[in-house]
Amino acid sequence: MLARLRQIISKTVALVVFMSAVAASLITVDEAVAERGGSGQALVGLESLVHATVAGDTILQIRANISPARATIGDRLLLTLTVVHDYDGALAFPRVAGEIAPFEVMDVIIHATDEQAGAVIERREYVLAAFETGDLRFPPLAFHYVSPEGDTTTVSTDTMVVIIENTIPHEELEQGPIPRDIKPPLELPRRVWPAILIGALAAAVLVGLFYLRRWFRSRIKVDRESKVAPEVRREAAHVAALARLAELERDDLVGQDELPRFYLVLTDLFRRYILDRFSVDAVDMTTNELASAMCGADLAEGDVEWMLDLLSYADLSKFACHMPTSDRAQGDLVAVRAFVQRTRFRGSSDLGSSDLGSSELVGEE
Amino acid sequence: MYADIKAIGERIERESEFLVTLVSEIDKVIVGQSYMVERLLIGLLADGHVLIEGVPGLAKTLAVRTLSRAIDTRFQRIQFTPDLLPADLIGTMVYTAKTGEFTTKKGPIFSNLILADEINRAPAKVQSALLEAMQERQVTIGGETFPLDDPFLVLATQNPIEQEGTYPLPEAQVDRFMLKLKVGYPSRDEELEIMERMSRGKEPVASPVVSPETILKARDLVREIYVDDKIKQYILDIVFATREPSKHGLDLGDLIAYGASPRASIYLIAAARAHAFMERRAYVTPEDIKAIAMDVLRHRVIITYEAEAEELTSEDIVQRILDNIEVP
Repeated sequence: MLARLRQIISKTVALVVFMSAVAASLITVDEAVAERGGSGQALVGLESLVHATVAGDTILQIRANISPARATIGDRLLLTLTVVHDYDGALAFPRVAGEIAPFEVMDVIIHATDEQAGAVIERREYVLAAFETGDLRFPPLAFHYVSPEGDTTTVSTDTMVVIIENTIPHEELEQGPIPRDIKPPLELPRRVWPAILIGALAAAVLVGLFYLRRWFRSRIKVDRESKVAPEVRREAAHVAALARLAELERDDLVGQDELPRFYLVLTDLFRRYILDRFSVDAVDMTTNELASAMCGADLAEGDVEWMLDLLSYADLSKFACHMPTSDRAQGDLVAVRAFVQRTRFRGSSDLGSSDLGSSELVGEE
Repeated sequence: MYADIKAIGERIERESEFLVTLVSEIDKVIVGQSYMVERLLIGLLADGHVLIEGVPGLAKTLAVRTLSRAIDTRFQRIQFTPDLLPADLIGTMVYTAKTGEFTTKKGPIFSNLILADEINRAPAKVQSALLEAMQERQVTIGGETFPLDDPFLVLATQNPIEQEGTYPLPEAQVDRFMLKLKVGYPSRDEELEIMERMSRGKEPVASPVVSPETILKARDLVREIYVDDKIKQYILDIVFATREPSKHGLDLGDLIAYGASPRASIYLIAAARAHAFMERRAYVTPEDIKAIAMDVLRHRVIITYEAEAEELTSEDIVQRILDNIEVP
């Protein structure tokens, strides 16, 4: 009996301790509604506190709190459910998610069970949101408690009214919907114009650079296309040719029966003389090409035919292993020397004329 | 040595007579286009395939068909289309219900002269099948390998315009053609002659005047034509100038992306021999090299974007090289 009395006293003390821990600032439903009608300030929160005595001396206390009591549509609300019950009993929390329309549960936090002076304190927090405006009623939540003796008791919280406000100010709502215009065109501030000017100048410079590069490249192209003419040393052309002819004669390749080599040297010096004297790129031309190119030159009658015959005969020696005769070789040497002397540069009148057809031909010396 | 060359020259004189008959027979049908006909004959004599590029209506197909008729050889024309399959070209295995066995059905590639018309209109796998056959000179169908006939010559045409929906030949595959010809419009007089011939009503047709055996015999003779070391060096100078132009005193390094492949050297010497044969010469001169160099090199020299920006073509580059390499 004494033990039982001590148990009751300890439970009562625990309850008092718990009650004192709950914030004294919470107000009841009636007070909240009264305040809304009065000062118009946001309510701190709503609370429903239920005490029930079940199975004789067992105390069950349920506290439901919603904060804040006034909110704007879409704002988050916090529902806190705190239950204090006998250590030996069992309590089933309600299924909040499906029973609180027009509110919706966004998140749930279940706190660890606390024990204090023989009583069990269970606490859960629900993050809620409402997507309707007006005075929304938060419905009662039913808790089922099973006592140590096996008796089941259902205890419900009170209905709470939460005020959800529109985002549009209250005054505007009272005046009716206000038509809104689209945003006006953005005026460019005056300091943008210098930037545009600089940009335009930069673009002009870039375009200028592009065309300058193009012009420069076209110059390069012209340079590339215009075959770099070999340095015309007209005055020295016959001197060099005659010197090489004299050297060829001294070497006596004909006497040594080195006739293919003789024709290699002879045609080479002959082509280089044509190049220097007439600015015809004879070195890079085949026999027929050279003959065609020299057709435009003001040479004596039969010179081109003689040139073609000489080079064709040399080609036979160079490319067909043909062994030239000594007589022919001697004759070609004399003929080349005669051609060089006959067509050699004779004066300044040549310099101002075109490359071909301007040679001052002189008679054979 | 010269005596040997002279003897070859005499044989060439005798055995090249068919060329006059052949060309005159072709001339009965084709007006002008002597450049194209001459190059086709070079391809035939040098055993090298020819790619012909030209706008429509320049008698490309007619020239090839006429050549094949004049040679009295088997000829197949394959019109390349986007839906063509390799099996349509090389052949396939066909199931014979009567015997219950698979038999080989050879494709049109088993012929002497193949005209691959508009080769760039067929997808890459068909082009590859043809070009592989061109290179290997044999075809494998159902695990069995069949050698192709001799002479076997592929003459392909392609159209440089209307590139939409075409499959341009990759450089590696174009390289397998010995010559790439660019066919131009006929002259005013030639076009007048074409008009008159066509208005007569009956389209002229070439008659067979040369046998395939004559061509094969001529080919053997072409291979005997003498090429001096100086000519070989000249060929190497040209080919290497496409790869390392600066070493040959040419300022073309920034215009050439890729130079000519070793196939260029091989084909240059082969085509030069054939050209010398057509000139009735038993030895090759620089004239022969210069005459065919453009057709051998134009599709083997790949130009850079910089060259394109300067509106230069591979022909311009090759011409510049030919103009600046010293002739032996």
